[in-house]
Amino acid sequence: MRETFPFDRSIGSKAEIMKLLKSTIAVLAMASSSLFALSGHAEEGHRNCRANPGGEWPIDPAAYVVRNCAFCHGPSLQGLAVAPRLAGQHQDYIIYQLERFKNQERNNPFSLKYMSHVAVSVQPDSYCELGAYISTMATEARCDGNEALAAKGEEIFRHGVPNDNIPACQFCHGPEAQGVGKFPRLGGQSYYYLKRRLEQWVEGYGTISPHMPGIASKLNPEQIDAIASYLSFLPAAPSPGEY
Amino acid sequence: MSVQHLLRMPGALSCGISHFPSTACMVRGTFVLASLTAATLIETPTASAVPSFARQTGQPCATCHTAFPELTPFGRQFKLMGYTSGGTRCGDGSAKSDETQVPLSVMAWPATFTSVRSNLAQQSPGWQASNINNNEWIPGQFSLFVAGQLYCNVGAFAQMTYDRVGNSFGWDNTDIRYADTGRIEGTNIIYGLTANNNPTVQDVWNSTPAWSFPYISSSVAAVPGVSTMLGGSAWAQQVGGIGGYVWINDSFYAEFTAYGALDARLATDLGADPAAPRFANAAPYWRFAYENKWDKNSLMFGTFGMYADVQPVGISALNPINPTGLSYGGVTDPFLDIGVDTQYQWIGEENIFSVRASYIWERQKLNGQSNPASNGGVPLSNSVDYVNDFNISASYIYQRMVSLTVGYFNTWGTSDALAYSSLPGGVGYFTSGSPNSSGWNVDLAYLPFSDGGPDLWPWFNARLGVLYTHYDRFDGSTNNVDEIPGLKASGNDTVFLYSWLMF
Amino acid sequence: MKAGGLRIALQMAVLAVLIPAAGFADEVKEKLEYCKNCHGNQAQGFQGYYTAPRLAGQPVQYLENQFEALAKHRRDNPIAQQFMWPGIEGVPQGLRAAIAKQFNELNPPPADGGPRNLVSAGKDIYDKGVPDENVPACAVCHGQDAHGNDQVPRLAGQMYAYTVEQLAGWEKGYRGKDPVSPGETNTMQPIAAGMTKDQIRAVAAYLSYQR
Repeated sequence: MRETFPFDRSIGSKAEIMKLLKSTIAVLAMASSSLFALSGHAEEGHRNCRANPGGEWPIDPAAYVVRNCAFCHGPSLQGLAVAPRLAGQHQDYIIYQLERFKNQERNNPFSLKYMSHVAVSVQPDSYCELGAYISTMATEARCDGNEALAAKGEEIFRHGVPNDNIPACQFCHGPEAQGVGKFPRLGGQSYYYLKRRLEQWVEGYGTISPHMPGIASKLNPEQIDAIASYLSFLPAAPSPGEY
Repeated sequence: MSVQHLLRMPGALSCGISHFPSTACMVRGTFVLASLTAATLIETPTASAVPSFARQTGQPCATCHTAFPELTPFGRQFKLMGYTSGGTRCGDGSAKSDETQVPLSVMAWPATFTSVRSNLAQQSPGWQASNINNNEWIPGQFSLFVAGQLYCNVGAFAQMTYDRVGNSFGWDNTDIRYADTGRIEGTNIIYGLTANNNPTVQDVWNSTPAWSFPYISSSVAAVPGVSTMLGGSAWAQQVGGIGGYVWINDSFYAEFTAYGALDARLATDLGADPAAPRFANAAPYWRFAYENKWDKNSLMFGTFGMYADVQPVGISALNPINPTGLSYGGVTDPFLDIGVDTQYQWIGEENIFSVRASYIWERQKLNGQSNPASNGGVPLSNSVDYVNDFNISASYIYQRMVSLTVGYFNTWGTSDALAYSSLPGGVGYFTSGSPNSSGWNVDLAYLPFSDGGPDLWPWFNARLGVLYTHYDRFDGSTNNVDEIPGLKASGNDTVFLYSWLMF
Repeated sequence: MKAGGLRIALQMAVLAVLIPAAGFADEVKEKLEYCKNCHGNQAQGFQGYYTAPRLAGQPVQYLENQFEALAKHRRDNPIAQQFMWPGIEGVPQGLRAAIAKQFNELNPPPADGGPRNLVSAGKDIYDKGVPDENVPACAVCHGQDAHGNDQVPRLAGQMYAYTVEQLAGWEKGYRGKDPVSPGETNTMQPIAAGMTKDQIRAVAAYLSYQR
């Protein structure tokens, strides 16, 4: 969008000054909001964790996750039934998702059934500690995908499908699908969960991600199957030095 | 399912006389039989989606239950972890807030209606409530639960019930646990201890008797007289047991629990039946199960069993030196139950489909009961009897709100003209000496609040439904059942309307 | 009716031109959306696991040259190989000029910025160069406003990490492979070699905030 600065207008009358002021404010507002939208640093997760790494309500994150998360996500948050693995997931992503569950922006049926209730009872104060601890939890790849489709999935993951305007997943999610910041780790996640997430974007749920609905909608069911299969075999745990 | 097959000479027990029971005692015995049966019917699985669990976890009932009391994989996990998930009563840094959680819940069956097809059935010894007629609306049970985290890793599911029909109050299903998690060589382990009062109440699948279909049934209508001891929950609330279990990799379950029978005094204190049969020594119970979960599916195969040195029928009347003794000259009647079970669930976003089946084989070595020497010169049974229980049921649940379940049951076993007969010394009413009963159950229920209760009380849940029970065979016969002329097995068919509320 | 017949013929002629044009315009739009998946919804640049540079406001000739260099595999750093070689293959020759023009016309504000405390030092280097190392002022070729022109790229608002990577990349020989004499060093190589890491970061930070 082209901004217009009234530099070429002579500033004389009060009306013109007011006009200049209004348009300047409008432009500044637009610029700052688009800066927030575009820049990762302005996200709440970052702000919270840098300014206030620990909350007022003290928790021991290791004991907390067992007491409150494990009965659905498994004793070491490795995943259970339809609940995905959380172990090794990035702090920023976890915080961002907790917020999205809480305000029900993440609105597919299972998210509403299970997570919207959970997210309400997790105190925002605990987000940073929980996210940081969960990101260090080690786990193994689920490997529950279709091995025969893994090679095709790798091709799409690494290079996309340029002729169909499908970008390469690894550009955002990393060469080992390890993710970074708000881009989730996909490596080693359950095939069923990954497949269902891609399908949900196609079905129109959870448009909070600015990118995924458009990308997923270009994938056909075989491609979704292949990508989800391939990813389930990738390493799941954080490597030393990763964050 | 009742326990009549274990009650050989109830009249004798209550009369406490040493000679062969007279007709007067028999009549009285029948009354005792009826009220004993009524009392033991309290053990019918009644507990369910417990609102205090919902408050503790912050989750609606539908997270842990398909249609309560059937459990989802998350519900199973919650129970295996000791009922403490979401709890704030622990200083180990695991509390999600400083909110005080009160682990109390109340259950009520404010209105129930039983309609048995034939009024003749009211004459059956299996009719559980001699003071209540057919086609009557009556309130049912009222229960108080202590359910949830007690402290840190110790949690409880403890129910106390007032039963309107039997006008009795006492402890009901109780399971107190300690549980913890561990990791061995990268494999997740959940392990724990359970103290409970009903073999299989501690189980997390709905294919074992304590929590099996039908989940709620009439406490008025006649029910078949024979089942295996596990299949009929014969020991419910009459025993106390302590055991340990492990749940490995969220897949493999192993448990071993030892039970002891309550003596008469303890039973009275707890509101259980002081005159109910008991067993000598400790009775071991074991359970192994393997569950595979993938996508929205879960499939379990398992086995379970119990061994008990049961007090032989009739010995107390003939053993004046030790009338409450558990054995005569050291002789007991060992019962051995071995069961296999399976459960499959598909839990989707809108629809749920589940199937359960179990088969229990029982061998009764009736050393005492069959021995003339212990019974005044008259054997009271075969020397060995077998009983088999088979159950299968399938449920479809729509939107977590409407539940349709169909089940088939079949009990069959050794014909025993002495034990299952109306001859003196027999149980009383099996016309052909056959213990066999079989039939169908269909339950249609409406659960409006599984995804969350009304604004005023979000933890409220209700199950309103109708259970239709049909008998092909009842107490060994298809006609003249229980020696009542003209009473067909289907004469005991029952329509049971129920309201089941949880606060 | 002659007049009616002529009108219809004219309408058909206009449609004959417009419909393929509409089809072409759709193709360009779709391809642009594809590029924006990685380069940002306004081509302002994007930080995923890797950094995709800003393409908005780039001179058309510069973009066309880069498309050519990528298609011919002359631009061969590891990230270009992974992403841009397959990417460019998906952009048919006929679309490239139109896409370059579309990118050129976009003018979003800068995306992610670099370390703010380096901005004033960076401005200094941008305006004056590093005379001791024979590093000329960047402004001389890239323009006072860093908007570039013709074959010289726009630097204003470029992603901080990308600018740093590119300046470091010249030392590794990743760019500037002249089509006529591929082995020859080019303009930027000695300039980048003459800058220290700190100076590179400072300039990159300054540029990342320029509009």
